[in-house]
Amino acid sequence: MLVLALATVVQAQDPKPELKPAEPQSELKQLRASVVQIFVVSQDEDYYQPWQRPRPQRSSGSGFYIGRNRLMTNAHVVSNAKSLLVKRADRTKRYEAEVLFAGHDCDLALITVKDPEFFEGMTPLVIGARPSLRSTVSAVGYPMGGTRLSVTEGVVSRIEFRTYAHSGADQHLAIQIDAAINPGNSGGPVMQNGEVVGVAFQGQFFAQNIGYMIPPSVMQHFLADCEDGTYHGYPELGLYTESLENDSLRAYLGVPKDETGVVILKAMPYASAVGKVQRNDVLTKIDGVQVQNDGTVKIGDEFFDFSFIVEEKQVGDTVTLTVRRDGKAMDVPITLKAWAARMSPSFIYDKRPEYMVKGGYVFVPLTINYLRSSRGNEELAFVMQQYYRTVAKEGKTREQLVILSRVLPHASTRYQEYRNQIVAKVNGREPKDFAEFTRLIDAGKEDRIVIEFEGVNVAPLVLSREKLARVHPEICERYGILEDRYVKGSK
Amino acid sequence: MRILLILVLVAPIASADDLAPKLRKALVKLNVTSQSYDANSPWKKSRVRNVTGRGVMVQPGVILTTAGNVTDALMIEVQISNSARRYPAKLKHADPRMDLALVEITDPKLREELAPLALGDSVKLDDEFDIYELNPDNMIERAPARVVRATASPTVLALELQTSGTGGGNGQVAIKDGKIVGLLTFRSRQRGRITSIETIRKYMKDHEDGTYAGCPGPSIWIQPLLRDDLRSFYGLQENQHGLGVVRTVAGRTGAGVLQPKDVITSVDGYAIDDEGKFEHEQHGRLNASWLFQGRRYAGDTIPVVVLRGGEPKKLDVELKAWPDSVRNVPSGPGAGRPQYLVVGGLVLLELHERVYIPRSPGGVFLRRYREREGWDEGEGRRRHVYVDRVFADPSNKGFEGLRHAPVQRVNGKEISEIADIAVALTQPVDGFHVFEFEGVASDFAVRASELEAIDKRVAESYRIPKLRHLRGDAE
Repeated sequence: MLVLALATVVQAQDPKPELKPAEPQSELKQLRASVVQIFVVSQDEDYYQPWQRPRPQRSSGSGFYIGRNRLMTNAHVVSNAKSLLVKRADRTKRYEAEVLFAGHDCDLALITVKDPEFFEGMTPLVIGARPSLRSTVSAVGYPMGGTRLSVTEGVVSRIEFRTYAHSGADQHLAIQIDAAINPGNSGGPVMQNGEVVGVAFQGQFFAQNIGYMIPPSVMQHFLADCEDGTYHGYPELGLYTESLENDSLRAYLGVPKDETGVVILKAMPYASAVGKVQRNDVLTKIDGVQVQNDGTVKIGDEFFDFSFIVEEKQVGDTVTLTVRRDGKAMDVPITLKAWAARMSPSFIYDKRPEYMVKGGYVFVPLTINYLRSSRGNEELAFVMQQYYRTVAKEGKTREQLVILSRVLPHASTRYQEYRNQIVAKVNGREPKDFAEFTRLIDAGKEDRIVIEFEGVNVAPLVLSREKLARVHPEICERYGILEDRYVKGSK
Repeated sequence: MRILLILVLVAPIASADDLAPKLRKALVKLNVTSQSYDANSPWKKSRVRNVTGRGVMVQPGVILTTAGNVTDALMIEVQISNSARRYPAKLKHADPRMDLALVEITDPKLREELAPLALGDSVKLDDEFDIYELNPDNMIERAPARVVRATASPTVLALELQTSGTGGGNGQVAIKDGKIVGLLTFRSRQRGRITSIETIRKYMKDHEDGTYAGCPGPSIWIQPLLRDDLRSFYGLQENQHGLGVVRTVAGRTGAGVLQPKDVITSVDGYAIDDEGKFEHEQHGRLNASWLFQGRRYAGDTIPVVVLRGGEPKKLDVELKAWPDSVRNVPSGPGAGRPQYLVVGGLVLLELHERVYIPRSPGGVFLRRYREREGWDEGEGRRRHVYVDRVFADPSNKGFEGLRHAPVQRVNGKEISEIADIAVALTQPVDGFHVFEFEGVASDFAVRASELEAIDKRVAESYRIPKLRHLRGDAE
């Protein structure tokens, strides 16, 4: 209050000429209007005790205006948000905002502010072309929670495919700059010649002055995807391939000397290429672009992973693989699908975790979030990591793996040595997903439930429905479980 | 008064003096020089190891010691008390599962100098005795001990001790009333463990007829029946107790005799409780697995009572051996040089339990095979052959990172053991040798006409003296 009053007094007076701020450069003036600070209160999910939620957290990030009352920022800035407030650098008022689209696979989000007053005098920032190596860029934003706009200069030092940390699984092009990207910078624009050439999004542990930004191609892909009102995400071709550097292997597969490409091993279950390719097909071209022996394609002067071609496409688009099969070249058109697998290798946001507590036995579907929430489950993490390589088989895939997370101690639960066991069967039936598992547990006339697990050293769990029902309320009360389950698609 | 006091003090010393000459003739120190084959590069041997173990003569010229002392022994030398001289000896027999071994003294003069110590009676809770050994100065050293607990591993009945003395646990001898009552296998911080005289006697007796049967192998997959739900699943009444049979494995103990959902209520005359333990007349509660393995010899038949459908049923169960020769993931690399092949830079080995498998895509399969040995996937193949690593060569460019890839087929032929690869390599397909792997790895192909030159180059470049060792090859 006091500060405000003083400020009013100062403003009312005619400032002395030497205290007058220098006229801001026009670009800086535009940035002050168009680059906003985002104040977030978020609440994550507790995948270990999913019946309760952890304490909300406050954080801040950056964003920028791209026109049509939309602000672009990182998905990780607005994930699990309960409250979003945005503020311009040239104003003091914070406005309520809401998320329009969040692309967790590319760490981009669009948010808007209901109050049109917020956008007055804002000019949209234009998305430019990918900056070249060694060119200078400036990262604009509000790092480390400071409230004043910060501008840091850096040089583009590397352009390559990288895993986006937010999803933990998706790889896209990322641009490395030698300016540090700190918390709060996230979602801010990286500028070059008055245009946005990147969105600051992640740093690097154990490295100094290295930051990463999302390139214009990924931004454009995200915006195009949102155009129809739904964000579908990146399509997945889903091929396991191996390089064709080996002369003997090339000769064995009948690849002519001057032809380059990679050998296809298999398609990932649920991916777009399922049923279209065969083992030992040699992928020579993708959409007419020659694939090199190391699995790259040449774009401009740079070599990128061949999935770069798919990166540019949307769900529903077609990509044409040219393969050599049994010595003959042939074109294989593939309609690209979104990643349809239920067991996601990526972190999950903005969704409620599924779980079921039944008489002290805690069951959850296997997710990366669950693995991160509980310790001492390396084996499980490994199963998850290898799921699409070895566990999931085309045709008869278990869409989700159900885990007996642990047993809450009670006089009736004497199986406390059970932790993180993968459910194989319930009364002889293999549940294809978590919902089916809960149905198998709930339904059934017989009193006895026999749950078998993966692994030879794990004896089956034998439960009595009647007894579970009897002790259930007491156990839930003891452990403060107000809701004993959340299963997607059920009441 | 004074005379009496002196008498009292002298008496125990006199009895110790009776024992001392006996101990001097029976206790020995073993200096063992051992060297194993390098498990991942079997054309090499690992560093030479020197182990100092202890032992006791139990038969004329025969020393009893722990199997751990003589693992991979190249040379064994015996020392006796008050002498620095070392006498040659040789390994007579070792059983790693029981951690017992017999060493034979070859020097005839020493054989005459020494005399065996008799095997004593079993000791029980609170019994007191002494642990003797030849110390580093070849003097006899004594540490008192008292039994605090009996335990049974599947193959060994052991006694936990409270004892003074530190370190050791490699063949020091427990002696009571001048007779052997156990062999020390562990000692640290006033705690110790001896292999019981029962287990030692059994081991010695096994040699009597000139053949060694050994302990039966692990076999039946069982489940404790503590919970009411589980008990009712197995059809147990309130007053009935036992262990649930989950399943048996073809070719192993209980197969075809015991059935899933049987409840084992008695084994070899001992009643089994819900936790899988029984009450031993002398040692108290012990694990029932010992009744199936450690207490008996492979080939024995024992009476087992089960509840089947609520009715008691008396069965005769033959206890089967489960030697490495029939296991598709053996317990270790086995005696002698492990089998291996180096083909086109690929190092091919057979999986055994002691192979360290890091987390790699191919390793998933190997880990599973190891865990599921003898249960599901193990059946069908004699052994699991895998590419341990690749010696990079221009011919295998692109495959230099291949690790722990299980070999499925070579030249179209299913591979059931490493010797199959040697056979398959005699018949290339369309001029190529083709290796197919399990999991996600590309086929490996090499021109048959070039293989000899590649192998020569790899052998020279990486200095591998021999590119193969299969059973039947000269060492």
